[in-house]
Amino acid sequence: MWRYIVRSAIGVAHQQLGLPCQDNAGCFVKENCLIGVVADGAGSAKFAEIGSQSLVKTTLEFVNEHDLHFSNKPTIWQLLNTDITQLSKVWKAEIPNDKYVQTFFRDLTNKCIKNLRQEAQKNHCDLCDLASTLLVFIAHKKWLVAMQIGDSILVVRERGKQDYKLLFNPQRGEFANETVFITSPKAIIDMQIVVMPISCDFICAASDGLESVALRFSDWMPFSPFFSPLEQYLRETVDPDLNDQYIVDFLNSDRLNARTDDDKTLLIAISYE
Amino acid sequence: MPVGLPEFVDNPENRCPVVLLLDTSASMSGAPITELNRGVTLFKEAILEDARASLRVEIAIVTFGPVQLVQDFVTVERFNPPSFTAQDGTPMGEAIEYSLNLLENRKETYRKNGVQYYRPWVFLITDGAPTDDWQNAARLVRNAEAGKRLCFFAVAVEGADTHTLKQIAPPERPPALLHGLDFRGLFLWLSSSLSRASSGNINDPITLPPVGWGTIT
Repeated sequence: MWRYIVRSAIGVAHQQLGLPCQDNAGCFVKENCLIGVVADGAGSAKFAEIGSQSLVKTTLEFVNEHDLHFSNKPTIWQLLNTDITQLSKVWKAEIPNDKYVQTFFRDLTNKCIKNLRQEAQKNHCDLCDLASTLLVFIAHKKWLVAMQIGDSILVVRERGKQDYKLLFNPQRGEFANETVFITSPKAIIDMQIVVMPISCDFICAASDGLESVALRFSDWMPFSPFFSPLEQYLRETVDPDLNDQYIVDFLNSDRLNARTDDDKTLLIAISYE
Repeated sequence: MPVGLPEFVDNPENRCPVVLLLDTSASMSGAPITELNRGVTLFKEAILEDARASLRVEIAIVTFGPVQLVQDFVTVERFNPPSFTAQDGTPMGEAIEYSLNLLENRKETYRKNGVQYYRPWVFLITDGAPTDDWQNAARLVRNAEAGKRLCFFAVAVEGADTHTLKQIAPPERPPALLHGLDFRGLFLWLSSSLSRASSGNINDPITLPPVGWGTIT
């Protein structure tokens, strides 16, 4: 079972400039899988908030329309080449097939770009005026697959482990405020994908507005004292959507705004029996 | 049981290195050098007005001629610009090349210390009459701009000869007049995310500051 909450808050810099919150995010459960998406509209793009909104909507629709069976049974050839003692394990494997996952995320990205083009036409603007990053994950009780274009963060804690793990290295240029967007001509090439046979107790996806307080830049290690209270909050909150004050207050706190002026999105989830 | 609040990791602040490249040659004597001194003070004030820029901007001053580093990179609270006097020739080409090297070294220091940084800025404030070979420097500036490795701002004092300056400044950001220049608008840039520089990526959301950058007509 999954329990989750996702909230966004506008950054002080955007507030001062009279800009809307350009982050967008969504989360839902389908076929026992938890699906999460975070899109961070580029501060430098004219209609970034429309771009990020379109990406989240497209992703949620796309996932809803497709089945999530990424795994396939091993072929006879694979079984013949398997050590006899491992045979039952291989046969029962539910590990997603890399190729299926790649095709799925490539199709999703293409669909996202297609819809962005339509939005651009509707809003009489260029595609790049809708520039946004995109991070999508699908978590099953036995695996997690995810894609990322840009610099959002995805952190998990595996069942039975103490430490938190960052799944993608942030995609950066040389400079701190430069990243890649889905509207870039090379978006598909820039896309990073992970396919992991892991059971996650805790998952956190966040926009880069939270990066500087949650990750240690010198080695990109997630900072446990940042994540563990968030996890504890979810464990103790039966209906987080109704009891969201903790997250909302945190995202709007002066303490946080003193450290980041960007929009902030936090998607956190736990699995429980 | 009450849940504690997330604690924050202590990361070094991102840095934006800025070189003020100041023409203190003999031709600047009188009103131009006064205007230049005032411009540097205004630049400092503009940074202090912006909380984010105050934390992130690091300033170095190079004067010419002769070319010398009168202030190595410091954050704004430690930045106390001296008053400059006009003397000597105008080795602008050499000064520009010196500044570009200075920035490369600074970036290396950032990288070694795990500090993230923004695209560096160079402000050249001058009356625009170089006495040395400036063509190579102009080429380096334009290449660096085209490769999005830095932002070069050519700023002219009143009555400057802008002919050469226009050939040094990148075409997308022609020289501006120092008088009435709004530095504050530039710092907005420190808060906006930009598309990563990559060759052939023509669909970048925007090119750069300037916000309200005035051109000389």
